[in-house]
Amino acid sequence: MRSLISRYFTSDSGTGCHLYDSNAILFKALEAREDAAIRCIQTKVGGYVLKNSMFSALEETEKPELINDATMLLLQKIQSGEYIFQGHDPATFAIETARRMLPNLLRKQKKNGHTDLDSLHHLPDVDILAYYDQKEREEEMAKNLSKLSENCERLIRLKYFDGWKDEEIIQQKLTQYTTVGTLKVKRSECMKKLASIVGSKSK
Amino acid sequence: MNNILPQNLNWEDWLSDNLSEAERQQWQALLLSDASIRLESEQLLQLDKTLQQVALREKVRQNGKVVMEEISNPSGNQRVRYIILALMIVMIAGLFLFVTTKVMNDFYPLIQPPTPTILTPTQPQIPEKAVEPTKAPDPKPSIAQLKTPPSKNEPASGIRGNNKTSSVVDSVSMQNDYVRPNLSNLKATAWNSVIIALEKNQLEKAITQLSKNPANNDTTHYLMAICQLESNQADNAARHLMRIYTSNNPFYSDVQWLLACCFKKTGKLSNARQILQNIMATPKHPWAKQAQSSLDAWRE
Repeated sequence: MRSLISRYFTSDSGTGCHLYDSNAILFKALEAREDAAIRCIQTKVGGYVLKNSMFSALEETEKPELINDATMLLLQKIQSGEYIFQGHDPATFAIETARRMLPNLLRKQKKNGHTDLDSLHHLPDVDILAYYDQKEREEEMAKNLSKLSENCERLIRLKYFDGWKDEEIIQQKLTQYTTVGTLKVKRSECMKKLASIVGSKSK
Repeated sequence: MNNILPQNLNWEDWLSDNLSEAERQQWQALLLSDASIRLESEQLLQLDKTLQQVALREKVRQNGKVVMEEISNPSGNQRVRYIILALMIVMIAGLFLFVTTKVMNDFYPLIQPPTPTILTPTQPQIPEKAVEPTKAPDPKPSIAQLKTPPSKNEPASGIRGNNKTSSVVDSVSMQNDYVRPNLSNLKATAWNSVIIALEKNQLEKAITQLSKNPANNDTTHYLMAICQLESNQADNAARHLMRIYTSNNPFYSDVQWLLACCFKKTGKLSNARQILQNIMATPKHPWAKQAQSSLDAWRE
C-alpha cells in the first residue's frame, strides 16, 4: 500500500524513487550511477535539508550545493567500496553526511560575516575536509578542460561526461575520426595536453 | 610528456586495462625501465580518475537542478494528483458518514448487547425452558385454536429511523398477513392471565401484566413481543424478539415469523424477506405456508 501511494505521488521527472522497490535495488542503481537513483537520493536529502530547522541557518543558495555534495560523497563511497550495503536506505548515509557537512558550511558563512552561531566549536570532520579538497581539485580540472582545443575538449567530454563508447562515437560519426584506433590515439594526446596544463599549474 | 610509445601501444588501452597478454608484458617492461613513462602513466591515471569524478559531479548537479525545481515547484501533474487524493478522502469520509448514519438509523433500536444480529441468531449457553411457572395454575378454559383477527395496519411508532422508513412502508403494498402463533401450550401456566387478556384482545392489560411479572425470561419476551406487535409497536416487539432470536430457543420458529412480521411492518423489507426465505428454506417449518403466501403477495 505504501509503495502504491508513493508510486502515485512521486513525479516521474522528479524523484525517481518509485523505480526502486527496495533498498537493495536502489543501491545497485547507485552503483551503476543511474540518474533516477541519484535523483531519488537528492529528493530524500533535499526533503530533510529543506524541512529540518537544523539547516535553517544555512543560506538558501547553499542548500542545493549541500544536497549535491552529500549525494556525491555517497556515490564516491559506494564506488570506492567504503560504503557497505547492509540493507539500510542509502539516503540515510547521505542525510548524515549533510548533517556532518553543515558545520563546515556555517564556518564558511561565518568567515563571510553571515552567521554567528554558537555551534561552530565542532572540530572539522577529516573525511569531509578531504572531500572539499578533492572538490576543489575537480573544479580546477573542469576549468582546465575549457583551456583545451575545442576538438580535444569534445573528445574528452564524449567519453567521460556523455558516456559514449568509442565504437558508438565512430558509428554515430560524432567526430571526424573514422576508426577507434585513431580516436584513441588522438584522445591520448588530448589527455597528455590536459595533464601538462594541470602539471604546469601545480608548479 | 613527450615520450614516444611503441606504435602498437596506447595510453587509452592502458588506462582502461584493455590489453593483450603480450601488450601487458611490454607495458610492464616499459614502466620498469623508463622513469618518465612511469611518471606520465601516474599522471594520466590520476587525470582519468579526476575526470570521472568531474563528470559524476556534473551529473549530480544536473539531477540536483531537476530535483530542486520539483521540490520548490511541484509539477502541475503532481498538484492534480493531490487534488484527486483530497477529493477521494472527502468522498470516502462522506460515504462512511452516510453508511454509518443509515446503519445507526435502521438498527440502533435493535442493538442492545448481547442481542444477536438479525440474520444470524446466536446460540445461547443454557437454553431456557419454554415455561417457568411462578404462580399457581389458573383453571381457566383453553385458548387452543384461537386466532386473533389481524391487527390494525397503522404506521410504526416514532422511534429513531422510522421517519425514514415510513415512506417505504407507504410505498410498498403492505399486506397484513400477520397470524398470531398458537399459544395453547401456555394455557394453565403462570401466563394464563396474559393469554386470557390476549384472547379478549385486551392488549394493554396483557402488557401491564407482563410488565409486573418478575420473571424476565424467554416467555416474557415472546408474549410481550406478540402484545406489542398487535398493538402496533412493531419496533418494541422487534427488540423483545431479538433477545430470544436463538436457534435452539423453543419459540425459535414463532420468533422467526414474528420478527419477519415486525420488519415488514416497520419497512425493513429486505430483512423481512431474508427471514421469510430462511423459513422457506427450513424443512417442515410450521410457518412455511404463511411465509410462502407472504412472499407470493410480495412478488405480486
